[in-house]
Amino acid sequence: MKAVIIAVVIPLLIGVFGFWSFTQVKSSALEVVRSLDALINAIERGRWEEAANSSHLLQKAWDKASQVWGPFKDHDEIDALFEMIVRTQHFTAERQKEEALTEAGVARSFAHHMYQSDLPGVGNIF
Amino acid sequence: MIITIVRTMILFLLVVLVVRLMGKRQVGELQPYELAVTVMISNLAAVPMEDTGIPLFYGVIPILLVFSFQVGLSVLSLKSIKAREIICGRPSVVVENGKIIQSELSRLNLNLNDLLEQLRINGYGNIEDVEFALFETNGQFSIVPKTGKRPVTLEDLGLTAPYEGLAYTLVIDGKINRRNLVKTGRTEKWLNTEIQKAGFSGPRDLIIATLNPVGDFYCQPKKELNKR
Repeated sequence: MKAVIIAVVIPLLIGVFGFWSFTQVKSSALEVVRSLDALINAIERGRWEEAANSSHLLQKAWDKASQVWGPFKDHDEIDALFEMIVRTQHFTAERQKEEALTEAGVARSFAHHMYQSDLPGVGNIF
Repeated sequence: MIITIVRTMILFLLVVLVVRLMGKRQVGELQPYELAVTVMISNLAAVPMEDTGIPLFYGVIPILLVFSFQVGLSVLSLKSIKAREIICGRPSVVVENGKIIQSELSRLNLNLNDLLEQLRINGYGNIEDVEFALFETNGQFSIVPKTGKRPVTLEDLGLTAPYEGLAYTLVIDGKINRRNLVKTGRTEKWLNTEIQKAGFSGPRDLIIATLNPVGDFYCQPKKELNKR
C-alpha cells in the first residue's frame, strides 16, 4: 500500500506543483510584459515623463517576477533579462529613443519566453 | 560558495533518502531497470550540485519522479508475472541436463569462454559436473551440479544437527539493545549479572554481548579494557 501511494501520489503532487509553478511564472512574466508594453508605448510617443513612471513600474514588476522565477527558471536566463531591463531603464533615463526601444523589444520577447519555454508542447519537449 | 554547500547538503540528503527507500540490494544484484535508476539519480543530483545556475528543483523533481517510477515498476513486477517478465526479463538456461544450449549463448552474446569462466568462478572446472547453469535476471550466474558432484549434506549421511538459530545482540558499543533483550525474554538485571560473571562492571565495558538460542552468553570487552 505504501509503495502504491509513493508511485501514485508523488507524481500527482509533482504534476500539481508543476502546473502551479507554471501559472506563477506565466502571470509574473505577463506582468513584466505589460510594464514593458506601457514603457514602449510611452517612448514611441516621446512622452518621457510617462516613460520614467513606466520604468519605475517595470522595476516593481521585475522585483516581484525575479523572486517567483528564482526556484523555477534557469538563473542565467533571469540574469540575461535583468541586464536587458537595466539597459532599457538606462536608455529611457538618457532619453535615447532607438536604443531604449530596441532593448525593451528584446526584453519583451525574452519575458514571453520565460513561460513559453515551459509550455507542454512537442517543440519544448523534444 | 555557501549556496553550493547548502545545495550539496540538500541533494545529498535527498539521494541518501531515496536510495534508502529503494531497498537494500547491492549493485551486483540490481535488476536492469534498478541499475538505470541508480545511475540516473546520481547524475541528476550531481548536475544542480555543481551548477548553481540551475534551479534546485531541476534536480529534486526528476529524482523524486524517477524514485516513484521505480517504486511503481517494483509494485508492478511484484503483482504481475507478465510485467515481471517484461521489466526484469527471464533467467536464461545455458546448460540444461549437462548440455550447453548454444542458441541461448548466442542470444545472450556470450561465448563458450565466458561460460567456462563463470563455471570456474563458481568452483566447477569440469563442465561434465554441471546439470544446470543459468544467467539470472540480475546478471548473476547460478549452477545446479549433477547429483553425484554436489557437496555432501547431513541429510545424505543420515545425521541431524541441533537447531542453531541466530544469536541476539544484547550490547553493542557499550549500549544495551533493549528490543533484543525483550525478544530473548531476559531482563537488564539478568544481563548485568552475566556481564559481572564474565568479569566486567557493566554494559559500558563491552563492545559486544550476544546470546544464542541455546542460551550461551558471549561478550567481548572494549579495546581500552583489553590493554589493561
